[in-house]
Amino acid sequence: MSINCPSPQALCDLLELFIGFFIFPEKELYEEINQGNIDLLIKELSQKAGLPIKSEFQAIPLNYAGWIDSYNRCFLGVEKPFAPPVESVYKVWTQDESFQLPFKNQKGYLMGDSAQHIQHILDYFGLVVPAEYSLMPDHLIILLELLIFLLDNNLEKEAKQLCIDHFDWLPDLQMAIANLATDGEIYIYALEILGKIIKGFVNNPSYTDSRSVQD
Amino acid sequence: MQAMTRRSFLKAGAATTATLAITKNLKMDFNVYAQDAKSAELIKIPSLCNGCSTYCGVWAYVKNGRLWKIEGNEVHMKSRGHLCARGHGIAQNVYNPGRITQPMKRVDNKNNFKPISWEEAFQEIGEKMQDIVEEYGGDKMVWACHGGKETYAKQFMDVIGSSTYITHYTTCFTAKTNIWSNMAGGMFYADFDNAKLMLFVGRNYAGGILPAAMKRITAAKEKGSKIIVVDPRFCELATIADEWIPIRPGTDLAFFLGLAHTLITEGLYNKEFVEEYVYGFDEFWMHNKDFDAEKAAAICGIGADKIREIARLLGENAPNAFLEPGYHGLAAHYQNSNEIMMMNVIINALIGNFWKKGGIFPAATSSLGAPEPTYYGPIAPEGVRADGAGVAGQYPLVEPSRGIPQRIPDMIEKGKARIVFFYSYNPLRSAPEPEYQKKIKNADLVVSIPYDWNETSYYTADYILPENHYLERAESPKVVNGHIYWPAAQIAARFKALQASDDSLALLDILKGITTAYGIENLYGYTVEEEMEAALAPLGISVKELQEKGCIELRPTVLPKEEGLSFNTFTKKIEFSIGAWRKEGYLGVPTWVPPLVVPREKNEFRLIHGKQPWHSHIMTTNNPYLMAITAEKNGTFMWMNSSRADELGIREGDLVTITSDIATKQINVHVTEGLHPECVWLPSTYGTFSEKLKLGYDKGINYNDFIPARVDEKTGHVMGQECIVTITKG
Repeated sequence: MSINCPSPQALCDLLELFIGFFIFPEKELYEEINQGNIDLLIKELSQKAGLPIKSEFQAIPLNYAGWIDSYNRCFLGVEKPFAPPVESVYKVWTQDESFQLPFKNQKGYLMGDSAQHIQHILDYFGLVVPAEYSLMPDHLIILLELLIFLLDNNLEKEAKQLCIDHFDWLPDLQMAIANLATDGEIYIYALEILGKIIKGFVNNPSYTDSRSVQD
Repeated sequence: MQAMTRRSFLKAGAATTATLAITKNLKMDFNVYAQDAKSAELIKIPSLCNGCSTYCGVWAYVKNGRLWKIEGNEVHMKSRGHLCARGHGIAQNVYNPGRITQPMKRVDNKNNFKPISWEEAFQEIGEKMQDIVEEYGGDKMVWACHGGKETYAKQFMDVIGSSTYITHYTTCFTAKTNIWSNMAGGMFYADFDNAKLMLFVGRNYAGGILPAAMKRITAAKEKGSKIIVVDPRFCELATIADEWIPIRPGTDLAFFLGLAHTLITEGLYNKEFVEEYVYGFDEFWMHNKDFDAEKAAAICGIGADKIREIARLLGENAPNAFLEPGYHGLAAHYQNSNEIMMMNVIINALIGNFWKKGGIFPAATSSLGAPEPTYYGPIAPEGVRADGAGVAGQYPLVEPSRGIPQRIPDMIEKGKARIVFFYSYNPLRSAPEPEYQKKIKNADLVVSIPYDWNETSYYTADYILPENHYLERAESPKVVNGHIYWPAAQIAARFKALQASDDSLALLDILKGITTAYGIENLYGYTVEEEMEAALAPLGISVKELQEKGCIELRPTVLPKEEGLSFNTFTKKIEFSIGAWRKEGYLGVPTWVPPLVVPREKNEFRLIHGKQPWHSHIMTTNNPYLMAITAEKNGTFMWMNSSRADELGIREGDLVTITSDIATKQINVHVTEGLHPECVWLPSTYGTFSEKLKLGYDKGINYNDFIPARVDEKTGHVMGQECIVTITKG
């Protein structure tokens, strides 16, 4: 498929692949990375999606046990501080000044306005977050699933709005991981590539809408 | 390469396919949604605070499913419209990303975990339990919890044949409840409002805060009540006292014996009350008639004249006076804690203040209903307790309802415990000797049900099943009473205040999942809403009414009375001599018992500890607001008497090394005249060593690091302040 005629299905598959980076490390994905297959797949899918991207995951020095360590320390908080991949944590908790809580204007908390908004969208479409993610409807993997859902259902305008409103914090997450005293290179790199895909999608006029994401 | 298999975290609800058309109800633009959300309605939902075991009544104000404000319930006897700092902090913890948000499974020996689904967790735990129970028996299961609030586990234990239900109380106040139950038939509580004299010994209501208690104590003081605080430390309550008397730590028993001697020899005690309502007075007096104020003074460091003065004040103001029954410090932490508690009963009895205005009263209580049983399957024979509590030949006098939590590693090593559940309990930090407690990991199966990444979960659990926040769940109603005198029982409950998934799990849901996976069908065949209805039915209160009012006070049932007193003991009297002790070959009455250890060298101190007003022992150290107060007040510092500090060349803020037989740590020092010279004092909160509790990690040190996991042979307590440490600068 050419760049001028992008495949939403390929984009969905591409985004789907990135979910794998933000759940507990799977041996299958690890082996595919090491064999260079993930880079090939990203190249293939991104071309089909009309957002050609070259990745070099294979070049990241990684062993499976180390990846598990990294996941625990980056996302579960084995070391202090940690960097949960949850949008609310990186944004001011609420814009509603009437709240009487001392942290209302601070970052670093769950279930902020962004989580409420995502929950509203999920509710509208009748989508249910599993119990394990009930406190984090704006967890990165839920956001990616929601984005895929919108694209799967030809709601590209809504998908772009979702990207504009809810994927702008990825650089903050990258920085938070970079500041940790642990090796989070795999995640920093995955976020970099994911950010390019999101930006490419929003800026690609072939996907219905022409609004752009600012750097 | 093919695209990898699609994972699916989002589940399509029933309405999904029908609602793909975009309507104006969808606010896809965040700014539009956020603006619209500001106009949402504010609602008010009652709950019970979880900041400490007081469980104050609260109102949660909620907007769009999120906490908007928290305040104390105006009717609830513990809060009376007020909340302490930890109450506010704990409420806000609901949005702390450090909480555990999904079940975890240990994956290696490096304390790494893998998030798993609830279904996976239940299935794996259920299957592992089946294997263990089949091979070793159900009596090898231990349930260890904070105690006092959960009511579900025993049903599970009854079915599989386990009797080892253990609470944390031996590290807190087990001598008090054991002794008061034996001598007076139950606990009694102080009537602050009408007391002319209040004597607090080892009890700091302004540190271990009950908001309503402090309000009433200060109101009584304004009306003219005299307050005397006897404590090695100039504690927060001492700041409002008429008199603070620093006592040599570990010698409160001598002080009490001196008080009793003066009351008796000077004829200040209530002879009529003693004759009518006391059993064993003569036996007590026979063993203690030589322990006069002078002898007491030589031991406790309080002058004989002062001891006699206080005894006379008690006698003059009786019965509108009390020796407050005490709590943590004296009730579980000295070799003579049992005798201290016995003397507390005796002194109050000598001044005849039971059921008297300004004296002490039992708790008003009431009965709640329960759902009909829903399980009719097989029940295994009850096994022997793994901890030996209440077991002949082991710890026959320890209350089985409390248990002995500090020796769980021994039970595991001896094969008496193979499956260990921890519910809202963290012995690796709250029990003595953490390195020893880490051996809990050797159990065949360890399951922890915490709220955050506490040490026990992090270092020992095979599975971590996080319980939801207290504002996210409803719970069956509770009878509100205890801690302080209140003439009427109250009824209050937690209602679900905050938006969370309907699948977000409370303990009832967790136990339903585990028992079902284990193969027990319908053990908890009711919802929490049905449980609430059943509980309230006998009282004629509807769930709706309780939710609207938050807390309902029943008619007063415990009021002052002059005659016809009856105590829930064998003789129906207050028993100065404990029959159960005599049966086991002990003397039934208290006599002087010296503390287990005594500091002797220039750099030796007794290590004591206590609560800070803004923390609840170890459970609040990961709270950003409470830790901000700690930072502002140098709250992790260890207190040391200024004269002793001078002798050692130690100045305010200096770093010192503190060493006991089992540990060496470093901490900064607060130099003060407000502490007895023989001891150093540590706040009980700090020393978090779970790396996952990022705010509390490595802040300060904890007294439990320095003490071995001992067991008092009578009531099972830990003797946590029987610890000598050496202090060196640097």
